[in-house]
Amino acid sequence: MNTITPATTPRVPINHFLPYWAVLESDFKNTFNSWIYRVWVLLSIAVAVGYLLYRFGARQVAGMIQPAPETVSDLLHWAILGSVTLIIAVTAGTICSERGTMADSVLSRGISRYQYFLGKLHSRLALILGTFLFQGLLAIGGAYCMLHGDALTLHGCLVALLIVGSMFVFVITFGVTISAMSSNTLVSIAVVWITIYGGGFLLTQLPSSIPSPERALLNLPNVMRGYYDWNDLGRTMLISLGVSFATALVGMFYFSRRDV
Amino acid sequence: MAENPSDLVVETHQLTKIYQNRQIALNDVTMKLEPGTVLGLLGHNGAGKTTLLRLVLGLHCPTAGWVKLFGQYMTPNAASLRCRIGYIPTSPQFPAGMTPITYLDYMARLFGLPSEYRKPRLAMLIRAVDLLASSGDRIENFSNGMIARIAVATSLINDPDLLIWDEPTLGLDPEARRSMLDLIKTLALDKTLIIASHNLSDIDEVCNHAAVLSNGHLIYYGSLQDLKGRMKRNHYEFELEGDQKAITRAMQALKNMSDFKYVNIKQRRLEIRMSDDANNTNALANVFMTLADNNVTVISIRSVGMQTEQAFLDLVEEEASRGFARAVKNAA
Repeated sequence: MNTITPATTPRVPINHFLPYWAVLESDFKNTFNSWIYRVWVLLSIAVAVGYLLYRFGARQVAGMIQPAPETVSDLLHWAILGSVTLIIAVTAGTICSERGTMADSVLSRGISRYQYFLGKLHSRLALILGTFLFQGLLAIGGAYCMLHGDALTLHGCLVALLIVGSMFVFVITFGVTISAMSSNTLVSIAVVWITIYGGGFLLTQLPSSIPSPERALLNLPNVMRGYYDWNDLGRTMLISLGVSFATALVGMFYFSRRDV
Repeated sequence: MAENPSDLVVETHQLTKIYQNRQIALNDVTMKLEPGTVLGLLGHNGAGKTTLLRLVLGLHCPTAGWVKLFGQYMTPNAASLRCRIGYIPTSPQFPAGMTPITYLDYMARLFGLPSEYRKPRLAMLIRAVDLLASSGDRIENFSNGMIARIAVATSLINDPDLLIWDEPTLGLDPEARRSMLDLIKTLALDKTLIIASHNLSDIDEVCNHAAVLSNGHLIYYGSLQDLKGRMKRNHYEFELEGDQKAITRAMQALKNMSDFKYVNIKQRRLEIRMSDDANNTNALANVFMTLADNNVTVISIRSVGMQTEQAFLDLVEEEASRGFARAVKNAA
C-alpha cells in the first residue's frame, strides 16, 4: 500500500439527508434485483395476463360476458390475497436479514438508526407501491380495451387502486417493523404472515360497521363504476394509513434502542 | 494526561453488557483513552473484545455504565460521533454487485459527505491502497488482501479522529500484513487507534497501550511498557561454542544450582528456566561464570517467548489463579 496522506483536510460540511438517501437508494436497487421481487412481479403479471385472456376468450368464444369492473376487482382481490405472501417475504427480512457484519458496516458509519429504518421503509414502500400501481394501471387498461370497459370510470379505478394501495402500505410497514424488531427472518415472516391473514380474517367476523379489508375488496366493482361514498372510503384509508404510521413509529423507536 | 474530560477520545465507566440475562459479555470496564493513543485490545476468543468495540461504536447498548466519545455520550443514534470514527469489523462483508468505487461512494454518503469532497477522497484512497487497477471489478471476486485494503480505505473515507480496527491483519499474507502494520504506524502519528488482535507480535510492534480482557473483565489497562514490566523473565536460550565435553560439564554444574528448575542442551543450544524465587541477574551471572570456568563461549543469548505474549499469558494466568478473590477489588 502507498502511504496514506495524514488528515490535513479541514472538516467538511455534512449533508445530514445524504445517509438516509444512500440507504434508500441502495435498498431500492438491491430489492429490485432480488429474486423474490422478480418472482412477485412475474407471477402477478402472469396471473393478470392469463386471467384477462381467459375472460377475453370466454367472451369471444362462449359469449360469457363479465363486466370490466368485476374482472379488475377479481384481479385486485387476488392480488391482495396472493401477493401479500410474497410482499411479506420481500419486507419481513428488510432489516433482520442484514444483522451482523453487513449491518455493522452501515450502522457504524454516520447514520442514525432512525435514518436507517426510514430509508429501508421508504425504499420498500416506493418499490412495492410503485410496482403495484403500475401493474394495476396496466390491468385496468387491459380490461378496458379487451373487455366490456364501458362501465369503468377513471376516478373510480384510481380510488380502487388507492384503497388497495393503502392496505399494502400497512402490510409493508408492518413487515419492515417486525423485521426491525426480530432477529430472525423466518420468525419475522411467520409473525407477519399470521398477523396479516389472521387479523384480516378476524376483521371480517366483526360487525359490518367496522371497516375490514375483505368488505372493502368486495365493494371494489361498485367503486370502479363510480358508486362510492368518499367519506367511508376516506375513513378506511385513513385508518389504514394511521395504523401504518403508528406501527412504523413503534418499530423505529424499538430499533433505535436495540442491539444490532 | 488529558486534564479536561472532553479531551479524552474514549471514556468508559463501569461498562457492562449482559446478553438477554444469559451471558455476561463485559463486566465493569472503566478506561480512558487520550488522543494519540494506539491501544492494543487483547484477550482470548470470547473475552469481550468485539463486544467492547461494538459498545464504543453504539452498535450495542450497555446494560450498565456508559461510553463517552470526545466528551459526549455514545448512543445508537449518535451519528455525529460516528462521523469521527473509522471502523473495520472482523472479516468485513460487502454488498453483492458493488465495486470499490461504488462501495466507497456509498460509505462516504453514509457519512453525509458531499460529492465535491467524497469523489476526490475516494479516488485518492483507492490509489493509496493500490486498487486502481481493480477499481471497477466486483468486490465479491476479491482476495482477502484486496478486501482488507478496501476495508482500510472505507475506514479512512471520513478522515476520522479515531480508528477502531478489529483483527486488521487476520488472513493477510506476510507482505500485506507488513503493509498494514506500516500503515498503522503512519496513521498513529495523528490519530487515535484501537486495534483488537490475537496476533501479539502485531500489538507489540504498533501499540503504545494495551488493554487485556479476560472473560469480559478488564484485567489490565495501561502502557504496553508497563505490561511487559510485569513479565516474569525466567526463560533463556544460549547459543554456545566450545568443546562438547566442556559444554556438558557446564550443563551438569548448572543443573546442580538451585537457581534453575530446568537446564537442557540440544545441539550447542543451552536452554535454562529459572526458579520462581531466583533473582534473574544473579542467576545469569552464575550461568556466565560457569560457562567461562569451562571455557565455553557464548555466541548469543535471548529471552524465550514473545515479550508481550508472555506478559499477556502471565496476566491471564494470574487472573485465573485469583479465584474468588476477584470479587474483592483490592485483593491483588
